[in-house]
Amino acid sequence: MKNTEKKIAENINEIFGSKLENGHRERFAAKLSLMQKPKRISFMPYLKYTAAAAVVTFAFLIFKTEKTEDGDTAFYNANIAEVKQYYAMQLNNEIDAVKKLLNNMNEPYRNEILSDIKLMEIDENKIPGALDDERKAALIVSIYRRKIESLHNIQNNVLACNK
Amino acid sequence: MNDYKEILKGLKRNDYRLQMRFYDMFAETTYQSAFAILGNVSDAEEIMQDTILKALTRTSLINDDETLMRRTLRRIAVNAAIDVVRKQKSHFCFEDIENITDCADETDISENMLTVENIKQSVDSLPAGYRTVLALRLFENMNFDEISRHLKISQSTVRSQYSRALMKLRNYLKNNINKD
Repeated sequence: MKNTEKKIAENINEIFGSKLENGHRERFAAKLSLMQKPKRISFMPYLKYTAAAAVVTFAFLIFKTEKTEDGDTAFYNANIAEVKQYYAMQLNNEIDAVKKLLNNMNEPYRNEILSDIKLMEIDENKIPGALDDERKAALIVSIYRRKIESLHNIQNNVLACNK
Repeated sequence: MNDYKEILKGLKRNDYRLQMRFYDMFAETTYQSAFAILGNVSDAEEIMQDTILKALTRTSLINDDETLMRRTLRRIAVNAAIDVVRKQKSHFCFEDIENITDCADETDISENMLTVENIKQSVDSLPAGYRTVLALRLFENMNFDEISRHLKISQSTVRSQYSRALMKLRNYLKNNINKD
């Protein structure tokens, strides 16, 4: 090893080193706090409840149809398309309300909720054609009501997060 | 139970106080590894803190042995610092030897020129590529093979760049320190 190399090696820490700047600990503490994510709020359970409720309602209606085949069907004489349109409008209003609330939220949470909403926006086309109008309407109403209820819960949670 | 083991237990519980003790334990050495390559205080601090945060979030990086933990953190910081240099330069380009017109040798450097302060000044004046090779060889005690793997350049290039870095450093000492 030549003189220059030797001198560097002997004083390596002074030559290649440097003191940490004041406040480094505080800066790290701030980063660490940011890293500790706030408690994750999952909105998926609401969707699960909605789906479960829809299945239960559907099963109940099928069961009821079989038992009261000759029962009174005058109660639901509404036009299916009108019912659907009415509730779809209500659902859209609620979705818009949630989306407005999401502006102040962190992007990952916002995206998570938006993907949940997207699932809710999927139209239910799987209502069996064998059902009469009364039961079809009841089923549609039930599904939309559950979705709207879920959106209310989401709104409450988002409001709580934004506080 | 020793201090380090207690800290490791705390990390599993996300205990903030012990996470900060983990930081206190490894901040200095991790920072020095990054600084040796970069020569920039704020970039080195950024790399050191990101390295420690990475270790705190990825339990697979945590080592039960304190020495190995220190080595792991230094290795991550060195790689991150090399990436920073690479991003700045796009690749490790070194000045061509033909462009180094003045080739000072050891005889041109008197003993009184070789003060720590003068050498530090010379090292700081080196282009990033040369500084990196010197830091890896002398500060990190890496052999030429290890350096070539880290920098993804051939071993012979590392050897020649190391010699050139020393030559450039001597040139600086001869031409700048002499004049003062």
